[in-house]
Amino acid sequence: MIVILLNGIVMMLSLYLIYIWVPPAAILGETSRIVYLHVPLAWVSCLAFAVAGIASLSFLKKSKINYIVYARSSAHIGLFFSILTVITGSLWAKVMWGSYWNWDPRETSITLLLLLYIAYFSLQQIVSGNPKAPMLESVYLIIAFVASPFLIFVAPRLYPTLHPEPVINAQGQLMLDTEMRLVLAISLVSFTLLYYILLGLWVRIYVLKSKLHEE
Amino acid sequence: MKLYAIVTAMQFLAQTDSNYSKTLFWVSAVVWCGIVCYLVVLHRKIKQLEKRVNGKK
Repeated sequence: MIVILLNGIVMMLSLYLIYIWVPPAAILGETSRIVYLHVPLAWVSCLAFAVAGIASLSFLKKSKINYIVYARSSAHIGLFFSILTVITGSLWAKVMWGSYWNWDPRETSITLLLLLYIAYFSLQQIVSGNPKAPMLESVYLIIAFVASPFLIFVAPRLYPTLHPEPVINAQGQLMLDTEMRLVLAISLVSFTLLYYILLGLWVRIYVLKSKLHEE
Repeated sequence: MKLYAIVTAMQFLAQTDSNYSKTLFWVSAVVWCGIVCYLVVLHRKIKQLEKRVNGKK
């Protein structure tokens, strides 16, 4: 409960910093504020898919059912956050490039990633009830986990893109003002905390419900 | 009635806020309060489930 309240306070602070405190970026203007939501949402989706992949690996290694619960919940959260990433990205694209969808390499790769995880939920529905379901799910999540870095980091850099130079570029330089850096960092912390809380609560509910069904 | 009050408040904010950043702040704050309420509901659900599990034992 304390963590939920703490997250509430940190998120309110970050919203205040995003919309009121931080000045708009030089060229992008007021629309630049969406970057403080778009980037953390994208970060949490990557984190969630990575956790799902690592938890699946642990499940295959140790055969503890708790790992697959973590993997399922994390994949659910990742899908939700990646949908939000696409929505915020499309809104920003409409303002900056005049169209909601431009088939930019980065837009296309995140859509492929989204489809990869939507397919996972179809698989989950198909194999539910099967005793081998957790194993099949974890194998699929590991394959998706291996494909993710290519779709997130490699594919968008292979073709010319409408996206500006990434925040952390190939030279490893952080091309942001100090104020913008601070706001982005606080926003990243608050969204990561939200992911951590959601994952913890969903896993706990799942475990308790399965205990009730067992008894 | 509630919806009318929300719409009126938003119209007032939009009129006094030239670049909409304050309006967006309040809209995001309302959305965020909703998310916190959802988290609290989940937390309470866990407490209820824990009671049921302990009761069965």
